[in-house]
Amino acid sequence: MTPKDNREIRDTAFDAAELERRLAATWTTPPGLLGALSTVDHKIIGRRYITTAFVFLALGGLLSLLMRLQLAQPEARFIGPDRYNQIFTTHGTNMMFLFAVPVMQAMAIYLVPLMVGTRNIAFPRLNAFSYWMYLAGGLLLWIAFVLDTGPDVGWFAYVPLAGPQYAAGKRADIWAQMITFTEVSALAVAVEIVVTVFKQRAPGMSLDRIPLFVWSMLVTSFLVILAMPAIMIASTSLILDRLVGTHFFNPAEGGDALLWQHLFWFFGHPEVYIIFLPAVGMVSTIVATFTRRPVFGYLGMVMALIATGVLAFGLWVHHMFVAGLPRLGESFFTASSMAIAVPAGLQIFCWLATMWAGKPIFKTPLLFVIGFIVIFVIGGLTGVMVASVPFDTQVHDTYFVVAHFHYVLVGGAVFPLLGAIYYWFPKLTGRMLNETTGRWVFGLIFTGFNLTFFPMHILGLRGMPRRIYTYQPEMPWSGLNMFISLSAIVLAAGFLLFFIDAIRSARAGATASANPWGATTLEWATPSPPPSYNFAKLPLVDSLEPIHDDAFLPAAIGLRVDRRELLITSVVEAAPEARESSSGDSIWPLWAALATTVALIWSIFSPWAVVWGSIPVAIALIGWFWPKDVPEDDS
Amino acid sequence: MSANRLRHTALVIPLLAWALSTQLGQITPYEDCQQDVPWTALASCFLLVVSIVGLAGSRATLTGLTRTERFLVNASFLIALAFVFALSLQGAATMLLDPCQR
Repeated sequence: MTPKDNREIRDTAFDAAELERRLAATWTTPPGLLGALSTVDHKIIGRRYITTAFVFLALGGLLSLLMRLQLAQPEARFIGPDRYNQIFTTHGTNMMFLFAVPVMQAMAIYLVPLMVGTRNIAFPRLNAFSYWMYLAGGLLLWIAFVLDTGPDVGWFAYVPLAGPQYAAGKRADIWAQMITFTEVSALAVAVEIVVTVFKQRAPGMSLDRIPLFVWSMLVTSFLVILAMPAIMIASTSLILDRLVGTHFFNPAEGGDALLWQHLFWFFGHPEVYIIFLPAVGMVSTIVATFTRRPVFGYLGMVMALIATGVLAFGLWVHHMFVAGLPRLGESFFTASSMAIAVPAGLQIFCWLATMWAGKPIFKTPLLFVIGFIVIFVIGGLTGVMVASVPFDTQVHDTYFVVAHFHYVLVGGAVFPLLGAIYYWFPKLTGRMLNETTGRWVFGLIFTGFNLTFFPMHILGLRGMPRRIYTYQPEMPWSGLNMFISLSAIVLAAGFLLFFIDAIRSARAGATASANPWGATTLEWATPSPPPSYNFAKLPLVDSLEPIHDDAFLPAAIGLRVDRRELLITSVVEAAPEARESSSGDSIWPLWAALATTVALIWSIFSPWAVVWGSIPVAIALIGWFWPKDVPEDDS
Repeated sequence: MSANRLRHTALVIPLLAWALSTQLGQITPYEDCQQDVPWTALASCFLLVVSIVGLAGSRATLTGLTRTERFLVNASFLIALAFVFALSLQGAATMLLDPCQR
């Protein structure tokens, strides 16, 4: 043994109690405000992300209730047109950029390291930075809205409406810069997840033994990495057009207004799958647990996830069917839009087959999954309808499309997410949500959702355009609008009950055991909630269901306990390759995020902000990466 | 080229062919209309044939694989099939639509 080895304190040197004490000393975030602001624990950051995203969901929901109040009757004067424009823009932007994508990534931040059997996410300081950036972007949007300077150009901010000619003031700039905040955050998380899944899996977790939720987040992360640069380029170009007089989107000076639509939807359509694919993973996990059998067709499910992810990049023009492109070119996107129904259908049939062959236990998470299947199938069918150019031409920008995308996004993502919250709440908090209340929540949300959004199909077929702030009494829309607004109260009551149950259960719910559902994935092999170090000894994986029969898990040993150390494994077979240190807590990610926030907001007003604002960012990054005289080498 | 590399190359072909066909679908209809030559249909059919050949090539050598490698090859094969299907739909569209139609 070398002198260096003598200094290293390994996990083999201690009994279980002493090992856990020493690991806790090494990995636990210090108490107090500084500890809270400096933490890089993926579980703490994941919980923060989830909580913040649900706060934004509640705020976005309040905006939708305001819209329904306004539209309940014809010629209502409750909200003026300018405020209404801000409300629907902030609602859409908030739900897409501040709730749907972040909450899915947040679930991954919390769960993926646990599910692959590692002690922290890759690049933990980047993870902390991503949360602060996300929070700053959200605050930017909502503070602007409260100050009556909220964006009013729709959540896809088409030019020339959002350009300098038609959108005076800073409202469109706030939208564009909020995009930068949330995309920086999302890209950071995506990189972390890809590296965590590829290089930090527990020994033996080869690619054919990865849980389907982890597969789904891996594919989603690649979608984020490939799609989101397009929208960052687009929003930056828009800011340049508005601030320094470039002409990227001005046809009069050689620019192209359609370029915006291409760039936006090259991101925007994969965005739908960035939201939906994690839900596929959640549904697969819940179905497997509550039918007491593995998901039917693991190979087919993996194929469907990857095929959907790639095909998602060939659908964007189906949002532009009325833009005047050649019909033949459009038809290619119709073809891909039809083709993507194949992997989506395959997933549905795999879940149905699993339930058919298993013994379903109808707990709240499974109820949400069944609700998801019903609603998502309806949304998928209307999706095939609007993928057809002649039909889409008729219903474009009507309430039919509003109904369709709410069926896809709420049905395809929010229902599985709520099921996932009920499922993983014990792991997140150490307490159970109330089962009886959960059934009420499901009943109210399922009923309220369908009563609210299904009639919108009919409104659209009757010609009601989206985004209008009022309508004349002679139009055949008032009865249905009143019905929809009343139904929205049922839907809101369901969400209110959910929030009450979640807050109450987090404080005083029944205590959860380590594995209350009898599940088979690794996150359930550690206490609820998990200790700061996740696993006292890293598990060894020998099958797709590593904790089957509650058998004692074999463990990988030999890691140091006197520093934060991770096991690095090979990409395909997850064979151990090295031990590597994991970054400790640091306040610098917060400073870096604050400096970046100042630079980005300042750059809405002056291009010089890019020059002068980058100095504090550089200082923060120097502090972040300053050598600590602690070897970070692999061992 | 090793059998392993050949398999993976063959399986990437349908994805690349679909991406190329989708891009060409935005470019060649203008040329079709001006020159009265069905470039879009020709390109689409050519890429479909290339994809099918790639797919067939991937099944030629499946011996000596580990369990994980076999899983990856089978998953890739199924993924490639989805893209061959999308390509065939795109090819069918070129037979049905007038390239000059807006």
